[in-house]
Amino acid sequence: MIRFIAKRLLTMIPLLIGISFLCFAVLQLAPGDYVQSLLSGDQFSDELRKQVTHQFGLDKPWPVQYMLWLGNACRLNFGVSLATRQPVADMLWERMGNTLILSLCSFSLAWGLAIPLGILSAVKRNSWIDRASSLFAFSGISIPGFFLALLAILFAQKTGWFPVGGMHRAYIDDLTGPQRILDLLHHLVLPSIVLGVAGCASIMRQMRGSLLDTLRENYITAARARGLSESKVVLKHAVRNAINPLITLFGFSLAGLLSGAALVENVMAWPGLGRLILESVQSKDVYMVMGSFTMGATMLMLGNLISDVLLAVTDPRIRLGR
Amino acid sequence: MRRGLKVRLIGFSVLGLSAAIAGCSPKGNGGGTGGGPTPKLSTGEMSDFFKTKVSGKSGGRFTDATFADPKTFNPVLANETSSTDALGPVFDSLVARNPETLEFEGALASSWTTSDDKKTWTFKLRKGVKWNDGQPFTADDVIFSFDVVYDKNIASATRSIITFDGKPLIYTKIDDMTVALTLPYPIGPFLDLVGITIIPKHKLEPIWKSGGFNTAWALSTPGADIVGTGPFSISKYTPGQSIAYKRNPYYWRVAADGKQQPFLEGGVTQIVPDLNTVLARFKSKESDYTAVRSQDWVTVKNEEAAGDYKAVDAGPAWGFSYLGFNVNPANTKMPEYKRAWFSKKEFRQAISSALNRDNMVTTALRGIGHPLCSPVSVANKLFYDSALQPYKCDPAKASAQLASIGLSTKNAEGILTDSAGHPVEFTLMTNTGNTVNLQICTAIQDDLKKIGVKVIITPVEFNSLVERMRKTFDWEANVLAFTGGVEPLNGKNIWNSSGMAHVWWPKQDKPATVWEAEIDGIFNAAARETDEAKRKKLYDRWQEVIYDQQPLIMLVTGDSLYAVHNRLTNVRPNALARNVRWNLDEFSER
Repeated sequence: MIRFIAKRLLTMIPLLIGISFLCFAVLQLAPGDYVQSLLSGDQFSDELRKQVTHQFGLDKPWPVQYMLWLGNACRLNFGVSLATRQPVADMLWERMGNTLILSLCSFSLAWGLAIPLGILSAVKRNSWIDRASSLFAFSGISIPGFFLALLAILFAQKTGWFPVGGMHRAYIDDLTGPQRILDLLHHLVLPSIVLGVAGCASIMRQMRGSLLDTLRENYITAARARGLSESKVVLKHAVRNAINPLITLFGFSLAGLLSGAALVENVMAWPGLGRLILESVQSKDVYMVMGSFTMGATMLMLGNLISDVLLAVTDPRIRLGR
Repeated sequence: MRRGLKVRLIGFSVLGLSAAIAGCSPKGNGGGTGGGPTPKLSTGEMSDFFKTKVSGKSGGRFTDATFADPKTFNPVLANETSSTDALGPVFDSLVARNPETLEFEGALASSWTTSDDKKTWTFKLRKGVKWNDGQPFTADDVIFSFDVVYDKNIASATRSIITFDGKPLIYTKIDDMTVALTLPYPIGPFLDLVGITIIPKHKLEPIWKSGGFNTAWALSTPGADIVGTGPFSISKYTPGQSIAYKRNPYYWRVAADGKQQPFLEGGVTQIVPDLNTVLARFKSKESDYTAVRSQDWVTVKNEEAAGDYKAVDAGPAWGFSYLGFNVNPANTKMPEYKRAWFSKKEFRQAISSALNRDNMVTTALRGIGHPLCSPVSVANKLFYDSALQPYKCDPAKASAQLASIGLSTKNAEGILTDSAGHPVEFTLMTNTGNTVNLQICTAIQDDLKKIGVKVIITPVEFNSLVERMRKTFDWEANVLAFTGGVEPLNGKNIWNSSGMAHVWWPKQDKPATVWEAEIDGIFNAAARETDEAKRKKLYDRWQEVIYDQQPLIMLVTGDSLYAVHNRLTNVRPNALARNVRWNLDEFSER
């Protein structure tokens, strides 16, 4: 197992270099650069444009820029954001907490709701519970997140039950410690639901389908024939076998924990990573984009690795490293 | 707001006169952060302070919203609105134009005189002004601010504005409270140009001397270190969430009754990127005031009474949208015959006559706007040429004009063709995501179809559009908008044939046409003309040339729309200021 993990970690290195190279190349192919988008107004002289371009090192050929970036990245120095001239790592770090709070909430909401609902609707197939949850799942999958976010904003404004976007109230300093936590939770409700719904729906469908397949297996019939109670048959025998594809899904969604949800964050004014990344892509803040993409890619690969390891732990039929 | 949707241009606006949306707060006194006793200035100390005409009561807070995080807290390096908006309430310049009267008012300078040869301007600084950390403001700060702007190592956008034919102005300290600025030659609109932000020598000189100015006052700087003379100082910045302000107890403006401004204790600007959310937050009283898009205007207006706010139409925005044709020979991808059409005045006039601008106002601006016939705003009472008659929509005249340049036969599809049989069609570009510009394009397409001209609309991503206009020149026609200010000279970059933003053919070595040469001459003369009445005459002539030649076909401008909760008073949104909080120091709770 340890050899397997070490091997996987090692193969991540060339993969990361490849991904970062592709990202960098694509960024260069798109028209314009950071200086152009910053100084698009006409009050700026050509001299100023040249000066800023030189200061940022954007006047070097892009393969040279990439090699410089890569060299620094290998020493875990991800460079400085062109927009704010602050270290990329610091800026990502500042937002990471906010994104993690939100994604952990929506993550637990999605999984906590989806697994039991999925099991229930598989067991009670074609009952009204199954139909209702299918309806919920299909609408959850088909409604785009940002639209749901807009609906949530409208709901909050019309009812006044929840704050209209944001993470804290404006005058957070007026509040005591525990009040601040309540304020944060109050702000968390709507964005967690918005982000949780889509995830919940797809996990639920996955769980239901997988469990239905398993329930048709001969060993389930055999277990029932041996007189095991239905709950034992379902929870102990069927679910345990049906859960494998969900563990893979779990690994993938781990990667999503830190990638943020740019559109929903934008609409709900949540100060997360997604918004930061979206803004930097729009303004072509190259090093900021590179830093966040590298982080995203790393998270995705680690998430995959974790799900593979989890699979091996839960399913004795799988042996890693052979 | 409207990030990158307009080519930002004319006029290097003085900090604080730029675009922001803003908003409202729970009642309560105390700015939240910052402790210690508040210094109280005596009447004597305030004797030279600027007297305003308003009154208000002390205390309370404001809450508003902006679309993006600032990029720096260094006013010299701030180049885009998210930073200049954030710093607007924190810094001042020597003089500033009052956006309501259009007159210049003393800010950090209380008075000024010019020498007989109009080359030397002497500014008396306002007595008793202090930086928000309590240090006195003196001539040394002004000298230091010019030192920094003229430092070649510092990426300041202001340097080129106060450099005249390659020569800087000479700035000297006469005494602690007097500064003299000497120009290489008389400059007419000098006060418009001298609005550089004054920064504190005692805080920034050591950093500048050590070579760290280009990274000084980054976002991680504690608010207490960002020292200005404006009505508020930054108390706390939370990335992605908010900028908190607190009152500057040393601010240099006093109310009619002698009470020192600002009235409010502080406030918070929240960072809300989505405009739908901004409006929802305003309606739920989570923000005090906001800019309103034309598509939201009707609902905002209807809910005025129920929402306990006032919807404010601040009049036409100072700027214009245009339809421009590319005549730049560097555009090798465009066939030569198209350049030949576009170069003809009759062609441009015909297109202009075919356009129904009232219809554009109705469809693209929901009826809240005005047709244009000059790049100078109607509201610009100093320089608008009122002799100009609005363009009339007249398709018959358009067809006759096209026929006069040999475009009269139509092909099977009903499209005009030239003598060689080329159909009269062109691609029309605008920036993606800007629905107003896109609807204008559609209106143009419909109008021109009626006279047999085919328009292919191609929305292009903003960066790509700028690159086409500045570098590759690969475009045929485009629709964009320019923002405007009071002094037309600030648009020199657009109208001078050597200008970088001379849309139809930038950076010409020498003017390609007689009328372009005339405009160059007008701008050169206006720059040196210190008599405002004579300058007005020059600008009238310029507007007439543009009116006739139509190198940029003037289209429409929307009104600047705002909404303000009745909780606050003295809030007077202004179209020229492009901002609700240009007079934040006068805001008061009712």
